[in-house]
Amino acid sequence: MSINITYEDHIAILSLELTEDYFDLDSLNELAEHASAISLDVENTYVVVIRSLNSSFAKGWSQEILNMTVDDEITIGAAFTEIASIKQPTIVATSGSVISAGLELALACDIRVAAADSLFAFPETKMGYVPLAGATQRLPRAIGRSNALRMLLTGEEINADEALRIGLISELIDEKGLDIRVKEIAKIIASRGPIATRFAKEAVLRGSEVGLSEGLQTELDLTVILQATEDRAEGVAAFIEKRDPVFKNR
Amino acid sequence: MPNFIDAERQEDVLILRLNRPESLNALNTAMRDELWQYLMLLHDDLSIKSAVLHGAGDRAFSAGADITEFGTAPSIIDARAARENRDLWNLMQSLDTPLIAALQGFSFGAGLEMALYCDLRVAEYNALFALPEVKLGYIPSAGGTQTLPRHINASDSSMMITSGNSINAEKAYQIGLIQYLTDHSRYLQLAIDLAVKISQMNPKIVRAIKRSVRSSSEMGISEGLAYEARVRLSLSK
Repeated sequence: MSINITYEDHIAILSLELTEDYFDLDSLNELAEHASAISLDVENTYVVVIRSLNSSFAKGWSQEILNMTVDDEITIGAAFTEIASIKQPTIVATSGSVISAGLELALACDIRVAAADSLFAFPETKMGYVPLAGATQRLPRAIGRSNALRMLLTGEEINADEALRIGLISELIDEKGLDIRVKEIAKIIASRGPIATRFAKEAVLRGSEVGLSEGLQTELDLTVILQATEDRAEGVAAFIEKRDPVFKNR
Repeated sequence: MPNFIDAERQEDVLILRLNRPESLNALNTAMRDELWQYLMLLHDDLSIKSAVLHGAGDRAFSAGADITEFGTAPSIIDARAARENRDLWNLMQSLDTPLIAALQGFSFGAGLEMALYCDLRVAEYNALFALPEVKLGYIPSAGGTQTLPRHINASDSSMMITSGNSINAEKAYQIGLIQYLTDHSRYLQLAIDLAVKISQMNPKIVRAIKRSVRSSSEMGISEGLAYEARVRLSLSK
């Protein structure tokens, strides 16, 4: 087992413990299984945290994966696509090396928070190949084309300060405080209307596939569905009565 | 009848002020109706070359939708029909006249979403920005889930949209949510100065640029370049 899952209230925490910090086929399979199970479990899981128990988040792909050829018919990015498709908001906490596969996984998450010692890079071009699992698509969408191409073409390492400046991460935390801060963010999101946070993510994701007008229509339709939920009635009532809402995921 | 929106014309610039300061300029249906009228004016009256949108009082641009009116719509079917029949936000998004938002204090919920339909955002140092809808069990419904990710990076927009937490003016400036940041004593004048500057440009060019840039949010780059070429051609006639 290189990835374990624990639960704290409505927060699912995926903790990586990769062999020498590299992603191999087994760890990808485990990740995909966890991701699809979490995504289906909207009853209990409102938000997801992904972190590493090692000092580095992930340094890249195992030799086994790098040696694979197209004949192996393995879609290496499938596990990260499962992560990106999780219905609940996902927060990734990075530390140490966030290289290649590590950064691809981080890009498949919604919110990126980094320890101050985090280093981000896509060194693939230096080795003569293209990132394997979505970087050319997810990175420009995350930080814009210029900074994406800068990272992809130069392979240079970006430190946490620079990552914050270019919008790759939302917060920079000192190493000791990372776990606490990430759980704090997770608790905040878990305290919001759970249908609302799922629908908000859905609106953002579906909106990124279409033009603005169509995205606005998607948002309107989701808004109208939400108007029929108990949680929305409770949220509005609680606001007017100046008390904390009690959401039931209904 | 109180005016929930004040309008003042300074030469070619229209200055619109959300005027419910005792309610932090929250948008109620009456204010929305008035805003519709003014947006139609901007749409129809080409002698207005640019506009500024700001909030009365000194505490907020707008704290968002007026929650006390929530649930008064007869049914969700009627609510959807009402939005589609008179789509205020689509009208705002489709204007060719440049809009400049001058933001003080709170720009929350629909307040921020309104500002996101503007072309430039000027704010003062104490400004705060949030899409707090998920706190109340719903999602931004004036376009925020679509416009915010198109203005700022993915991680920060997801953070704001799914946590409902606010960000301060410094963070907003750093991530490009606002383009100008200044003192409270100067932010409105700065917005007006920008509007005046734009109003002195050739209006045909200004409107063509807005149209062309707007098209980039609806199409791929090849189609967008062809659109830009058509816009340029139409100007040279």
